Amino acid sequence: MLSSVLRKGVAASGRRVASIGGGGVRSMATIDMAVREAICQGLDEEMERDENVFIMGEEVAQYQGAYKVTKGLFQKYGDKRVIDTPITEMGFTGLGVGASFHDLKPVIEFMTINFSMQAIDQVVNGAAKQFYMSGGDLACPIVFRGPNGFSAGTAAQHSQCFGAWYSSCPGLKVVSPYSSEDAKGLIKAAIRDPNPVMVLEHELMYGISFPMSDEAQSKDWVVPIGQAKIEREGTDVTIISFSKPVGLALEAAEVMATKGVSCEVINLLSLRPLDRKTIIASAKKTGRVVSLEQGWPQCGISSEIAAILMETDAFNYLDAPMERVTGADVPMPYAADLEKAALPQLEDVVAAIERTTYRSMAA
Amino acid sequence: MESGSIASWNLKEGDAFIAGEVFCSVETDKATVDFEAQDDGVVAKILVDAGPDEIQCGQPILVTVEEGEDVSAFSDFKVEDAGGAPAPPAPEPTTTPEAVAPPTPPPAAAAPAPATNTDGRVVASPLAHMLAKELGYNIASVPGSGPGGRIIAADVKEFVPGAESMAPTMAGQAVTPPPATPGAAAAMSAGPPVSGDGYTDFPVSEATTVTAGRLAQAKRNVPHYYLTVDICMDSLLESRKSMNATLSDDKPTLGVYEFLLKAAASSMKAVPSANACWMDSVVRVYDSVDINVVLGQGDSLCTPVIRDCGGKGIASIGDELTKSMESLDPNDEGEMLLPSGEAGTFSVVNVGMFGVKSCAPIIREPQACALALGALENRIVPNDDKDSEEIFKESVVMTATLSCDHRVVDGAVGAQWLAAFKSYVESPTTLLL
Repeated sequence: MLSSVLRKGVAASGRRVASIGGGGVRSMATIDMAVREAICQGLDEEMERDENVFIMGEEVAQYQGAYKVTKGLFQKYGDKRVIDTPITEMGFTGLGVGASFHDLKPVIEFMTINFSMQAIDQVVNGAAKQFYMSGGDLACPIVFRGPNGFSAGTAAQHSQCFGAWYSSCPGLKVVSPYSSEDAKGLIKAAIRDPNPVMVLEHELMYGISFPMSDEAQSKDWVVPIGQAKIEREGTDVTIISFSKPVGLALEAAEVMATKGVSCEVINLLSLRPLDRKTIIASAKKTGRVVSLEQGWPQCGISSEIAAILMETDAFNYLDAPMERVTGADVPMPYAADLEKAALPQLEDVVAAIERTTYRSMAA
Repeated sequence: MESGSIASWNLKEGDAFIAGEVFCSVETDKATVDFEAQDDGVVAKILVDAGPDEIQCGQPILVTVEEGEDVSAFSDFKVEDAGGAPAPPAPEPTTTPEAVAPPTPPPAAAAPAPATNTDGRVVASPLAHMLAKELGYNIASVPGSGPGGRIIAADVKEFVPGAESMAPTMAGQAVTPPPATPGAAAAMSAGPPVSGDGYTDFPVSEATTVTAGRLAQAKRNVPHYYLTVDICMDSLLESRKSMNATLSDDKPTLGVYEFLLKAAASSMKAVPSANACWMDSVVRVYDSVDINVVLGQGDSLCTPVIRDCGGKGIASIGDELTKSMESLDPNDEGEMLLPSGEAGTFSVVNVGMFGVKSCAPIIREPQACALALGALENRIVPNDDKDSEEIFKESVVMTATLSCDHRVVDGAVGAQWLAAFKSYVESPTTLLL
């Protein structure tokens, strides 16, 4: 097979040249690729395309990335473009923001987005507001990325979802991929975007493989920011989600299909700007909306979706009040069973969908 | 199942039982079924003996306890002693209950009561409201099967309306287009006629569809009845002639129609309850007489309203009439002005101009009455002049017909109105009063 010949050739030369991401060799057919490899491929392509793009963060270079997302990049691009930093988020984020004011395009990795809280002043005040505050003089083409939300037993300080907080900031773009295609397309779009972009990945998705179409494998594969994706079409209930919970939404849709309820699943992809058009159109189509997120309920993404449904023409088409399924209103517990109880599970989503379709039988 | 009787008891007080054992046989109007225990326990007290007496569902028939030693506590137990405790559930038949209801049961019989709060608000989803409006249903009459009795879209779609649950068209509302073409502006031109083998199809314009719908609905909903009277027009024609003689040349002459409209408005003063609208739960009697005058025909049929005819003089009523009739003519670009849809409190139609003797008009909902005026004819009538030798005389006579909505205006009131109208027309000077 062509792919195995190529691999042998590379090994014989003694130097790994093009096999970034551990085996994602170009081919003419859809292949399976893990999310971390897709992100890595996206980073690699953008660094090749534009020499001003560089990566900075803890363990990104010599350690190959805390989650191996930047694997192979240090070897390929050297220490001027893949930079290990001390453990000081405020420091290296500020460095990155300053660099972006001088036409460089930094990609700042936060080992988890929880740690971005150490640098949130740089993200919001340093990056997001600059274009406005400088009257258009200071563009800030920076990308912040890292795993967001829950993991497995990472407990209260390392399991928070920052989607709601960052998505409320004008001047900042916020995206959150689900599949490998999403991940690669969004990181490339983020790097090419002249605005500061926060990319909220998910640790538990890094190792999960998805089919990567031919098109997605190409170097031009960019997912536009601001457009949601309809993962599954349906007619009875709309489930809106982002990041890992999209998988849960799809599972719930399967369960409901056996009960005769057809669910439409929307993968938001972009939290800011939020694709209001798609949300409204789907709500008008089905008349029932369930919003699913991992984060806390108060002032979450679901709250914004509820506001959209109230403030727009979608309201007139609602046949049931919106339901939201969110993480519990507690700091993430450490005990495994409590952690499970604090996060949306399949039965919670199914129950919410059933509440929207609830109908008492006539006498 | 609403009631049953106990055919026989299978256990007696003090007997222990396990889940599945039969307490008693219950006779319903459909079958005799066994009442089974759901849990283990002991029969403490039997409250109702076996017999033919009907027992309503919800009435306690039995007390059971978990432990045998508690039985004696209930030896003298009566239901009244239970105080606030809820009654034990009625004996549940173990066989599947009544035959499957027919697929489309009449709404009055099978559907649950319409969902209303104690404050009379209808609880319905926004989509249900929208659908009901489109379909012309009164949302309050749709039974709700959503949570808490909320009316949801499916309820509206499944609803089979009776005549009373069609939405009342409120006075003062503009004409609303039918559901088939929501939101479309009324188009005057309806497309060219299509010829077929032995027929020609004329496409129906928006305006015509709208009017047709409303007329059909009015004919269905309103309990019409008709009162007819012949009116001698001689005095009125005299008055008109003399009034027109006083007018200077630049003023337009007064027509007969404006006299008649004034007479109708004055009749409303005499019989105010006819100047009313049916509004389902109330009859609204209006203070001012606003008359819809039916003008034009076909696509240019319109019913402009002349407001406060009671307060206006005949000349100003005439001016407004002329203005309305002029708006019927196409303007310089050949366009027809849109028909006006403002609602008044009373409608008048004149078929006399076509030489027609009389007409029984269709009431414009939600008004209570409509008046149709026939042609002014020269007729031979009995001579009321005792001194004359002729027993007949010639007189100009017009036939007027009043349609009334019997829910608002009963026969006596309608007749009084028509009598007043006749008297005003035959003695036009009384219009000054």
